[in-house]
Amino acid sequence: MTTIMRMGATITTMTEAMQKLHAWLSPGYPVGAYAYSHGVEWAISAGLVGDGAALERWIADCLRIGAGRTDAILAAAAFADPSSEEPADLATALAPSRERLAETAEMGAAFAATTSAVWGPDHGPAPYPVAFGRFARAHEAPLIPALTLFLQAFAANLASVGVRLIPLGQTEGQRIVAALMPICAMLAEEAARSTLDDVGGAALLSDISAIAHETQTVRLFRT
Amino acid sequence: MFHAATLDASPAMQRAAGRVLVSAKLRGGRTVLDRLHQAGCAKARMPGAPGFEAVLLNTAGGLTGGDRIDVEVDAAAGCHVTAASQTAERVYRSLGGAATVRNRLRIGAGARVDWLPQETILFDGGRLDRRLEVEMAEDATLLAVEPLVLGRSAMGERVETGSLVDNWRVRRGGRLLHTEALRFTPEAGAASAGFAGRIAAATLLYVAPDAEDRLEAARAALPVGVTSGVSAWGGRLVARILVETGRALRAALVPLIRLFREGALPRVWSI
Repeated sequence: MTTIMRMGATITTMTEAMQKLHAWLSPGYPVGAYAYSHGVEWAISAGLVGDGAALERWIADCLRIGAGRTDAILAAAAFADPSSEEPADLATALAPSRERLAETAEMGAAFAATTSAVWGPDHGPAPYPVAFGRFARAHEAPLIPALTLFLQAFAANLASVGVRLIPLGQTEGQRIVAALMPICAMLAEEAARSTLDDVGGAALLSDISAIAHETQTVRLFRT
Repeated sequence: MFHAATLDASPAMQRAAGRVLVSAKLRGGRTVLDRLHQAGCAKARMPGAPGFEAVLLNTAGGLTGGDRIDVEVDAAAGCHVTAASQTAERVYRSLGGAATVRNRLRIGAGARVDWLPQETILFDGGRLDRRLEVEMAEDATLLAVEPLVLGRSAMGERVETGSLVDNWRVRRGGRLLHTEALRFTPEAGAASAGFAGRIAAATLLYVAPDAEDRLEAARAALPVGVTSGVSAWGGRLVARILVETGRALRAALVPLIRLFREGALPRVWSI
Protein backbone atom coordinates (compact mmCIF):
# COMPACT_ATOMS: atom_id res chain seq x y z
CA MET A 1 0.00 0.00 0.00
CA THR A 2 2.75 2.46 1.03
CA THR A 3 4.72 1.38 -2.04
CA ILE A 4 1.77 2.13 -4.28
CA MET A 5 1.25 5.51 -2.62
CA ARG A 6 4.95 6.34 -2.95
CA MET A 7 4.87 5.33 -6.61
CA GLY A 8 1.80 7.52 -7.08
CA ALA A 9 3.63 10.47 -5.53
CA THR A 10 6.64 9.85 -7.78
CA ILE A 11 4.44 9.76 -10.86
CA THR A 12 2.75 13.02 -9.81
CA THR A 13 6.12 14.71 -9.33
CA MET A 14 7.33 13.39 -12.68
CA THR A 15 4.15 14.56 -14.42
CA GLU A 16 4.46 18.01 -12.88
CA ALA A 17 8.10 18.29 -13.95
CA MET A 18 7.20 17.27 -17.51
CA GLN A 19 4.38 19.83 -17.56
CA LYS A 20 6.82 22.57 -16.59
CA LEU A 21 9.41 21.46 -19.16
CA HIS A 22 6.70 21.49 -21.82
CA ALA A 23 5.75 25.06 -20.92
CA TRP A 24 9.34 26.33 -20.63
CA LEU A 25 10.44 24.85 -23.95
CA SER A 26 7.34 25.59 -26.01
CA PRO A 27 7.85 28.06 -28.89
CA GLY A 28 5.38 30.40 -27.12
CA TYR A 29 7.48 30.76 -23.96
CA PRO A 30 8.61 34.42 -23.88
CA VAL A 31 12.33 33.88 -24.46
CA GLY A 32 11.92 35.07 -28.04
CA ALA A 33 13.50 31.94 -29.54
CA TYR A 34 11.77 32.65 -32.87
CA ALA A 35 13.91 35.80 -33.26
CA TYR A 36 17.26 33.94 -33.31
CA SER A 37 18.46 31.86 -36.25
CA HIS A 38 21.94 30.92 -34.91
CA GLY A 39 23.46 31.93 -38.26
CA VAL A 40 21.06 29.76 -40.28
CA GLU A 41 19.54 32.86 -41.91
CA TRP A 42 22.93 33.73 -43.43
CA ALA A 43 23.69 30.08 -44.32
CA ILE A 44 20.43 29.95 -46.29
CA SER A 45 21.04 33.30 -48.02
CA ALA A 46 24.57 32.19 -48.98
CA GLY A 47 23.26 28.96 -50.51
CA LEU A 48 24.96 26.71 -47.93
CA VAL A 49 21.53 25.36 -46.92
CA GLY A 50 19.15 25.07 -49.85
CA ASP A 51 16.67 22.28 -49.14
CA GLY A 52 15.25 20.09 -46.41
CA ALA A 53 18.01 17.48 -46.57
CA ALA A 54 20.72 20.15 -46.28
CA LEU A 55 18.86 21.80 -43.39
CA GLU A 56 18.60 18.49 -41.53
CA ARG A 57 22.37 17.91 -41.96
CA TRP A 58 23.16 21.47 -40.85
CA ILE A 59 21.02 21.23 -37.70
CA ALA A 60 22.42 17.76 -36.91
CA ASP A 61 25.91 19.31 -37.10
CA CYS A 62 24.87 22.20 -34.83
CA LEU A 63 23.65 19.60 -32.35
CA ARG A 64 26.59 17.16 -32.53
CA ILE A 65 29.61 19.41 -33.07
CA GLY A 66 28.15 22.83 -32.32
CA ALA A 67 26.24 24.65 -29.61
CA GLY A 68 23.80 21.77 -29.00
CA ARG A 69 26.21 19.35 -27.35
CA THR A 70 28.10 22.10 -25.50
CA ASP A 71 24.90 23.75 -24.23
CA ALA A 72 23.65 20.38 -22.97
CA ILE A 73 26.91 19.94 -21.03
CA LEU A 74 26.61 23.50 -19.61
CA ALA A 75 22.99 22.84 -18.62
CA ALA A 76 23.97 19.55 -16.96
CA ALA A 77 26.71 21.34 -14.98
CA ALA A 78 24.26 24.05 -13.87
CA PHE A 79 21.80 21.30 -12.90
CA ALA A 80 24.48 19.53 -10.84
CA ASP A 81 25.49 22.72 -9.00
CA PRO A 82 22.95 25.54 -9.48
CA SER A 83 24.89 27.94 -7.23
CA SER A 84 28.16 27.66 -9.16
CA GLU A 85 29.06 30.57 -11.45
CA GLU A 86 31.55 28.43 -13.38
CA PRO A 87 29.09 27.14 -16.02
CA ALA A 88 27.78 30.69 -16.58
CA ASP A 89 31.27 32.19 -16.92
CA LEU A 90 32.31 29.42 -19.31
CA ALA A 91 29.14 29.76 -21.40
CA THR A 92 29.79 33.49 -21.76
CA ALA A 93 33.47 33.04 -22.62
CA LEU A 94 32.64 30.33 -25.19
CA ALA A 95 30.43 32.56 -27.34
CA PRO A 96 32.03 32.48 -30.80
CA SER A 97 30.77 35.90 -31.94
CA ARG A 98 28.98 39.06 -30.77
CA GLU A 99 25.53 37.97 -31.92
CA ARG A 100 25.90 34.44 -30.58
CA LEU A 101 26.68 35.92 -27.15
CA ALA A 102 23.54 38.08 -27.45
CA GLU A 103 21.51 35.00 -28.42
CA THR A 104 22.43 32.99 -25.33
CA ALA A 105 22.49 36.00 -22.95
CA GLU A 106 19.15 37.52 -24.02
CA MET A 107 17.27 34.23 -24.14
CA GLY A 108 18.74 33.23 -20.77
CA ALA A 109 17.83 36.55 -19.16
CA ALA A 110 14.25 36.34 -20.47
CA PHE A 111 13.96 32.69 -19.40
CA ALA A 112 15.20 33.45 -15.87
CA ALA A 113 12.90 36.49 -15.49
CA THR A 114 9.72 34.70 -16.57
CA THR A 115 10.47 31.45 -14.77
CA SER A 116 11.43 33.24 -11.53
CA ALA A 117 8.22 35.29 -11.66
CA VAL A 118 5.86 32.37 -12.39
CA TRP A 119 7.46 29.35 -10.70
CA GLY A 120 10.39 30.61 -8.66
CA PRO A 121 12.87 30.43 -7.16
CA ASP A 122 14.60 33.70 -7.93
CA HIS A 123 17.56 33.18 -10.27
CA GLY A 124 19.29 36.14 -11.90
CA PRO A 125 20.10 36.31 -15.60
CA ALA A 126 22.47 33.64 -16.94
CA PRO A 127 23.31 32.22 -20.37
CA TYR A 128 20.31 30.26 -21.63
CA PRO A 129 21.49 26.66 -21.01
CA VAL A 130 22.72 27.60 -17.53
CA ALA A 131 19.44 29.31 -16.59
CA PHE A 132 17.54 26.29 -17.93
CA GLY A 133 19.69 23.83 -15.96
CA ARG A 134 19.22 25.77 -12.72
CA PHE A 135 15.41 25.83 -12.99
CA ALA A 136 15.24 22.21 -14.12
CA ARG A 137 17.08 21.28 -10.93
CA ALA A 138 14.95 23.53 -8.71
CA HIS A 139 11.79 21.85 -10.01
CA GLU A 140 13.23 18.34 -9.79
CA ALA A 141 12.99 17.63 -13.49
CA PRO A 142 14.69 14.40 -14.56
CA LEU A 143 18.00 15.46 -16.10
CA ILE A 144 18.20 13.40 -19.29
CA PRO A 145 14.61 14.10 -20.44
CA ALA A 146 15.14 17.79 -19.62
CA LEU A 147 18.32 17.95 -21.72
CA THR A 148 16.67 15.96 -24.53
CA LEU A 149 13.76 18.39 -24.71
CA PHE A 150 16.08 21.40 -24.48
CA LEU A 151 18.04 20.13 -27.50
CA GLN A 152 14.85 19.27 -29.34
CA ALA A 153 13.51 22.80 -28.83
CA PHE A 154 16.79 24.17 -30.25
CA ALA A 155 16.52 21.86 -33.27
CA ALA A 156 12.83 22.66 -33.81
CA ASN A 157 13.54 26.39 -33.70
CA LEU A 158 16.23 26.09 -36.39
CA ALA A 159 13.92 23.88 -38.47
CA SER A 160 11.27 26.61 -38.30
CA VAL A 161 13.85 29.13 -39.57
CA GLY A 162 14.27 26.90 -42.63
CA VAL A 163 10.53 26.48 -43.06
CA ARG A 164 10.16 30.26 -43.22
CA LEU A 165 13.23 31.13 -45.29
CA ILE A 166 14.03 28.31 -47.74
CA PRO A 167 10.98 27.91 -47.69
CA LEU A 168 9.84 24.39 -46.78
CA GLY A 169 6.40 22.94 -46.12
CA GLN A 170 5.33 22.60 -42.49
CA THR A 171 5.23 18.81 -42.89
CA GLU A 172 8.80 18.70 -44.11
CA GLY A 173 9.84 20.90 -41.18
CA GLN A 174 8.29 18.43 -38.76
CA ARG A 175 9.92 15.49 -40.59
CA ILE A 176 13.27 17.13 -39.92
CA VAL A 177 12.46 17.54 -36.21
CA ALA A 178 11.41 13.89 -36.04
CA ALA A 179 14.59 12.74 -37.75
CA LEU A 180 16.72 14.70 -35.25
CA MET A 181 15.05 13.29 -32.13
CA PRO A 182 17.43 10.33 -31.69
CA ILE A 183 20.44 12.67 -31.88
CA CYS A 184 18.92 14.89 -29.17
CA ALA A 185 18.36 11.88 -26.89
CA MET A 186 21.86 10.51 -27.50
CA LEU A 187 23.54 13.88 -26.82
CA ALA A 188 21.49 14.36 -23.65
CA GLU A 189 22.76 11.05 -22.27
CA GLU A 190 26.32 11.96 -23.23
CA ALA A 191 26.01 15.41 -21.62
CA ALA A 192 24.70 13.93 -18.38
CA ARG A 193 27.96 11.91 -18.12
CA SER A 194 30.23 14.81 -19.14
CA THR A 195 32.08 17.54 -17.28
CA LEU A 196 32.88 21.14 -18.19
CA ASP A 197 36.23 19.93 -19.60
CA ASP A 198 34.26 18.23 -22.40
CA VAL A 199 32.72 21.36 -23.91
CA GLY A 200 33.72 22.44 -27.39
CA GLY A 201 33.18 21.49 -30.97
CA ALA A 202 34.12 22.15 -34.54
CA ALA A 203 31.10 23.88 -36.10
CA LEU A 204 33.38 26.36 -37.83
CA LEU A 205 31.11 27.11 -40.79
CA SER A 206 28.16 27.61 -38.43
CA ASP A 207 30.27 30.08 -36.40
CA ILE A 208 31.41 31.90 -39.54
CA SER A 209 27.76 32.08 -40.69
CA ALA A 210 26.79 33.66 -37.37
CA ILE A 211 29.57 36.24 -37.80
CA ALA A 212 28.61 36.94 -41.42
CA HIS A 213 25.04 37.55 -40.25
CA GLU A 214 26.28 40.67 -38.42
CA THR A 215 26.75 42.41 -41.77
CA GLN A 216 23.79 40.83 -43.61
CA THR A 217 21.78 43.76 -44.98
CA VAL A 218 18.32 42.22 -45.31
CA ARG A 219 17.51 40.12 -42.26
CA LEU A 220 14.50 38.88 -40.36
CA PHE A 221 16.37 37.38 -37.41
CA ARG A 222 18.58 38.87 -34.72
CA THR A 223 21.26 36.21 -35.24
CA MET B 1 55.19 27.72 -12.92
CA PHE B 2 57.24 24.74 -14.03
CA HIS B 3 55.98 21.22 -13.75
CA ALA B 4 59.02 19.14 -12.93
CA ALA B 5 57.11 15.87 -13.17
CA THR B 6 56.48 16.18 -16.88
CA LEU B 7 59.86 14.75 -17.83
CA ASP B 8 59.50 11.72 -15.58
CA ALA B 9 56.63 9.89 -17.27
CA SER B 10 57.04 6.29 -18.30
CA PRO B 11 59.61 5.90 -21.09
CA ALA B 12 57.36 3.39 -22.85
CA MET B 13 54.76 6.13 -23.40
CA GLN B 14 57.09 9.09 -23.74
CA ARG B 15 58.70 9.53 -27.11
CA ALA B 16 59.88 13.04 -26.51
CA ALA B 17 59.47 15.73 -23.88
CA GLY B 18 60.55 19.30 -23.64
CA ARG B 19 59.86 22.47 -21.82
CA VAL B 20 60.95 25.99 -22.33
CA LEU B 21 60.41 29.19 -20.39
CA VAL B 22 61.12 32.61 -21.85
CA SER B 23 60.59 35.62 -19.65
CA ALA B 24 61.15 39.19 -20.65
CA LYS B 25 61.55 42.42 -18.73
CA LEU B 26 61.88 46.08 -19.52
CA ARG B 27 65.32 47.69 -19.40
CA GLY B 28 65.80 51.29 -20.49
CA GLY B 29 62.45 51.22 -22.25
CA ARG B 30 63.38 48.10 -24.29
CA THR B 31 62.17 44.53 -23.91
CA VAL B 32 65.09 42.26 -23.00
CA LEU B 33 65.48 38.63 -21.94
CA ASP B 34 65.09 38.09 -18.23
CA ARG B 35 65.27 34.30 -17.91
CA LEU B 36 65.54 31.39 -20.33
CA HIS B 37 65.09 27.78 -19.19
CA GLN B 38 65.20 24.93 -21.67
CA ALA B 39 64.89 21.19 -21.15
CA GLY B 40 64.52 18.28 -23.52
CA CYS B 41 63.47 18.87 -27.11
CA ALA B 42 61.98 22.35 -26.60
CA LYS B 43 64.27 25.29 -27.31
CA ALA B 44 63.99 29.01 -27.83
CA ARG B 45 66.25 31.33 -29.83
CA MET B 46 66.24 35.09 -29.59
CA PRO B 47 67.62 36.42 -32.88
CA GLY B 48 67.85 40.00 -31.63
CA ALA B 49 66.71 43.41 -32.81
CA PRO B 50 64.41 44.81 -34.02
CA GLY B 51 61.90 43.87 -31.35
CA PHE B 52 61.96 40.92 -28.97
CA GLU B 53 61.17 37.78 -30.86
CA ALA B 54 61.37 34.28 -29.34
CA VAL B 55 61.66 31.57 -31.97
CA LEU B 56 60.41 28.27 -30.58
CA LEU B 57 61.88 24.99 -31.80
CA ASN B 58 61.00 21.37 -31.27
CA THR B 59 64.28 19.54 -31.90
CA ALA B 60 62.46 16.19 -31.90
CA GLY B 61 61.10 17.21 -35.31
CA GLY B 62 57.35 16.86 -34.94
CA LEU B 63 54.99 15.34 -32.42
CA THR B 64 53.55 11.91 -31.92
CA GLY B 65 51.51 10.05 -29.31
CA GLY B 66 52.97 10.38 -25.81
CA ASP B 67 55.06 13.45 -26.55
CA ARG B 68 54.80 16.32 -24.14
CA ILE B 69 55.80 19.94 -24.75
CA ASP B 70 55.43 22.78 -22.25
CA VAL B 71 56.03 26.38 -23.27
CA GLU B 72 55.82 29.40 -21.01
CA VAL B 73 56.17 32.99 -22.10
CA ASP B 74 56.22 35.66 -19.43
CA ALA B 75 56.08 39.34 -20.39
CA ALA B 76 56.63 41.69 -17.45
CA ALA B 77 54.93 45.09 -17.28
CA GLY B 78 55.42 47.19 -20.41
CA CYS B 79 57.17 44.46 -22.48
CA HIS B 80 56.31 43.46 -26.02
CA VAL B 81 57.17 39.84 -26.77
CA THR B 82 56.58 37.97 -30.01
CA ALA B 83 56.71 34.16 -29.88
CA ALA B 84 56.63 32.18 -33.11
CA SER B 85 57.59 28.64 -34.07
CA GLN B 86 60.53 28.18 -36.39
CA THR B 87 58.62 25.85 -38.71
CA ALA B 88 55.24 24.26 -39.09
CA GLU B 89 54.63 21.64 -36.38
CA ARG B 90 53.86 18.18 -37.77
CA VAL B 91 51.63 15.85 -35.77
CA TYR B 92 52.50 12.35 -36.98
CA ARG B 93 50.26 9.29 -36.94
CA SER B 94 49.91 8.16 -33.33
CA LEU B 95 50.29 4.54 -32.31
CA GLY B 96 49.01 5.30 -28.83
CA GLY B 97 47.64 8.36 -27.12
CA ALA B 98 47.71 11.99 -28.07
CA ALA B 99 50.68 14.32 -28.07
CA THR B 100 50.24 16.86 -25.28
CA VAL B 101 51.12 20.54 -25.66
CA ARG B 102 50.67 23.04 -22.88
CA ASN B 103 51.33 26.69 -23.68
CA ARG B 104 51.10 29.37 -21.00
CA LEU B 105 51.37 33.11 -21.44
CA ARG B 106 51.57 35.68 -18.68
CA ILE B 107 51.17 39.28 -19.77
CA GLY B 108 51.79 42.02 -17.24
CA ALA B 109 50.39 45.53 -16.96
CA GLY B 110 50.58 47.38 -20.26
CA ALA B 111 52.52 44.47 -21.78
CA ARG B 112 51.82 42.64 -25.00
CA VAL B 113 52.40 39.10 -26.28
CA ASP B 114 52.00 38.10 -29.91
CA TRP B 115 51.57 34.31 -29.97
CA LEU B 116 52.12 33.47 -33.62
CA PRO B 117 53.15 29.84 -34.18
CA GLN B 118 53.25 28.66 -37.77
CA GLU B 119 50.87 25.97 -39.02
CA THR B 120 50.09 22.82 -37.10
CA ILE B 121 49.85 20.05 -39.70
CA LEU B 122 47.74 17.14 -38.53
CA PHE B 123 48.75 13.99 -40.42
CA ASP B 124 46.23 11.22 -40.97
CA GLY B 125 46.07 9.34 -37.65
CA GLY B 126 47.66 12.20 -35.71
CA ARG B 127 46.34 13.04 -32.27
CA LEU B 128 47.01 16.29 -30.46
CA ASP B 129 45.76 17.63 -27.13
CA ARG B 130 46.78 21.26 -26.82
CA ARG B 131 46.00 24.04 -24.35
CA LEU B 132 46.74 27.74 -24.44
CA GLU B 133 46.38 29.35 -21.02
CA VAL B 134 46.68 33.12 -20.88
CA GLU B 135 46.79 35.27 -17.74
CA MET B 136 46.77 38.93 -18.69
CA ALA B 137 46.46 42.27 -16.91
CA GLU B 138 43.38 44.42 -17.60
CA ASP B 139 45.29 46.78 -19.89
CA ALA B 140 47.54 44.14 -21.51
CA THR B 141 47.36 43.08 -25.16
CA LEU B 142 47.23 39.60 -26.65
CA LEU B 143 47.42 38.65 -30.31
CA ALA B 144 47.07 34.90 -30.80
CA VAL B 145 46.76 32.73 -33.90
CA GLU B 146 46.81 28.96 -34.37
CA PRO B 147 46.74 28.00 -38.07
CA LEU B 148 45.69 24.41 -38.72
CA VAL B 149 46.20 22.29 -41.83
CA LEU B 150 44.61 18.85 -42.08
CA GLY B 151 46.76 16.27 -43.86
CA ARG B 152 49.66 16.60 -46.28
CA SER B 153 47.68 18.03 -49.15
CA ALA B 154 50.65 17.88 -51.55
CA MET B 155 50.42 14.09 -51.18
CA GLY B 156 46.65 14.11 -51.44
CA GLU B 157 46.43 12.90 -47.85
CA ARG B 158 43.12 13.37 -46.04
CA VAL B 159 42.70 13.01 -42.29
CA GLU B 160 40.47 9.95 -41.98
CA THR B 161 41.36 9.07 -38.42
CA GLY B 162 42.85 11.14 -35.64
CA SER B 163 41.81 14.08 -33.53
CA LEU B 164 42.80 17.50 -32.35
CA VAL B 165 41.64 19.18 -29.17
CA ASP B 166 42.68 22.81 -28.82
CA ASN B 167 41.51 24.62 -25.70
CA TRP B 168 42.23 28.30 -25.16
CA ARG B 169 41.47 29.90 -21.81
CA VAL B 170 42.12 33.63 -21.62
CA ARG B 171 41.86 35.24 -18.21
CA ARG B 172 42.04 39.01 -17.96
CA GLY B 173 42.32 40.66 -14.57
CA GLY B 174 41.80 37.21 -13.01
CA ARG B 175 38.44 36.59 -14.71
CA LEU B 176 37.73 34.23 -17.60
CA LEU B 177 37.26 36.42 -20.67
CA HIS B 178 37.46 34.18 -23.69
CA THR B 179 37.53 30.50 -24.50
CA GLU B 180 38.13 28.62 -27.72
CA ALA B 181 37.36 24.91 -27.54
CA LEU B 182 38.08 23.14 -30.81
CA ARG B 183 37.46 19.41 -30.90
CA PHE B 184 38.33 18.32 -34.40
CA THR B 185 37.43 14.84 -35.61
CA PRO B 186 37.23 13.50 -39.18
CA GLU B 187 33.43 13.56 -38.79
CA ALA B 188 33.61 17.30 -38.10
CA GLY B 189 35.95 17.68 -41.05
CA ALA B 190 33.23 16.41 -43.38
CA ALA B 191 30.27 18.07 -41.62
CA SER B 192 28.43 20.76 -43.60
CA ALA B 193 28.35 23.18 -40.65
CA GLY B 194 31.83 22.08 -39.56
CA PHE B 195 34.87 22.14 -41.87
CA ALA B 196 32.73 21.16 -44.89
CA GLY B 197 35.61 19.19 -46.42
CA ARG B 198 38.03 22.12 -46.30
CA ILE B 199 41.46 21.44 -44.90
CA ALA B 200 42.86 24.72 -43.59
CA ALA B 201 41.51 26.89 -40.80
CA ALA B 202 42.61 29.47 -38.30
CA THR B 203 41.29 31.52 -35.44
CA LEU B 204 42.87 34.86 -34.65
CA LEU B 205 42.17 36.44 -31.29
CA TYR B 206 43.07 40.02 -30.40
CA VAL B 207 42.39 41.12 -26.84
CA ALA B 208 43.20 44.76 -26.14
CA PRO B 209 41.59 47.97 -24.94
CA ASP B 210 41.17 49.02 -28.62
CA ALA B 211 39.98 45.61 -29.90
CA GLU B 212 36.48 46.70 -30.90
CA ASP B 213 37.79 49.79 -32.71
CA ARG B 214 39.76 47.53 -35.09
CA LEU B 215 36.71 45.64 -36.42
CA GLU B 216 36.22 47.47 -39.72
CA ALA B 217 39.94 47.47 -40.53
CA ALA B 218 40.16 43.74 -39.79
CA ARG B 219 37.17 42.97 -42.01
CA ALA B 220 38.77 45.02 -44.79
CA ALA B 221 42.11 43.19 -44.41
CA LEU B 222 40.64 39.79 -45.29
CA PRO B 223 40.82 38.95 -48.99
CA VAL B 224 37.48 39.04 -50.84
CA GLY B 225 35.88 35.66 -51.45
CA VAL B 226 37.53 33.87 -48.51
CA THR B 227 35.15 32.04 -46.17
CA SER B 228 35.82 34.02 -43.04
CA GLY B 229 34.37 36.41 -40.56
CA VAL B 230 35.46 38.96 -37.98
CA SER B 231 33.47 39.83 -34.89
CA ALA B 232 34.33 42.08 -31.96
CA TRP B 233 32.71 42.40 -28.56
CA GLY B 234 33.59 42.80 -24.89
CA GLY B 235 37.21 43.85 -25.38
CA ARG B 236 38.15 41.25 -27.98
CA LEU B 237 38.22 40.70 -31.71
CA VAL B 238 37.95 37.24 -33.25
CA ALA B 239 38.60 36.31 -36.87
CA ARG B 240 37.75 32.85 -38.20
CA ILE B 241 39.00 31.55 -41.53
CA LEU B 242 38.20 28.30 -43.35
CA VAL B 243 39.82 27.63 -46.75
CA GLU B 244 40.80 24.90 -49.20
CA THR B 245 44.60 24.96 -48.89
CA GLY B 246 47.42 25.88 -46.54
CA ARG B 247 48.61 28.43 -49.08
CA ALA B 248 45.19 30.14 -49.12
CA LEU B 249 45.23 30.18 -45.32
CA ARG B 250 48.55 32.05 -45.27
CA ALA B 251 47.31 34.45 -47.93
CA ALA B 252 44.31 35.27 -45.72
CA LEU B 253 46.22 35.40 -42.42
CA VAL B 254 49.25 37.46 -43.42
CA PRO B 255 47.41 40.78 -44.09
CA LEU B 256 45.44 40.31 -40.88
CA ILE B 257 48.56 39.69 -38.79
CA ARG B 258 50.30 42.65 -40.42
CA LEU B 259 47.31 44.85 -39.54
CA PHE B 260 47.79 44.13 -35.83
CA ARG B 261 51.59 44.47 -35.96
CA GLU B 262 52.05 47.75 -37.83
CA GLY B 263 53.01 45.81 -40.93
CA ALA B 264 55.64 43.48 -39.50
CA LEU B 265 55.39 39.69 -39.70
CA PRO B 266 57.50 37.60 -37.34
CA ARG B 267 60.76 37.00 -39.21
CA VAL B 268 60.28 33.22 -39.27
CA TRP B 269 56.96 33.70 -41.07
CA SER B 270 58.54 35.56 -43.96
CA ILE B 271 61.31 33.04 -44.73
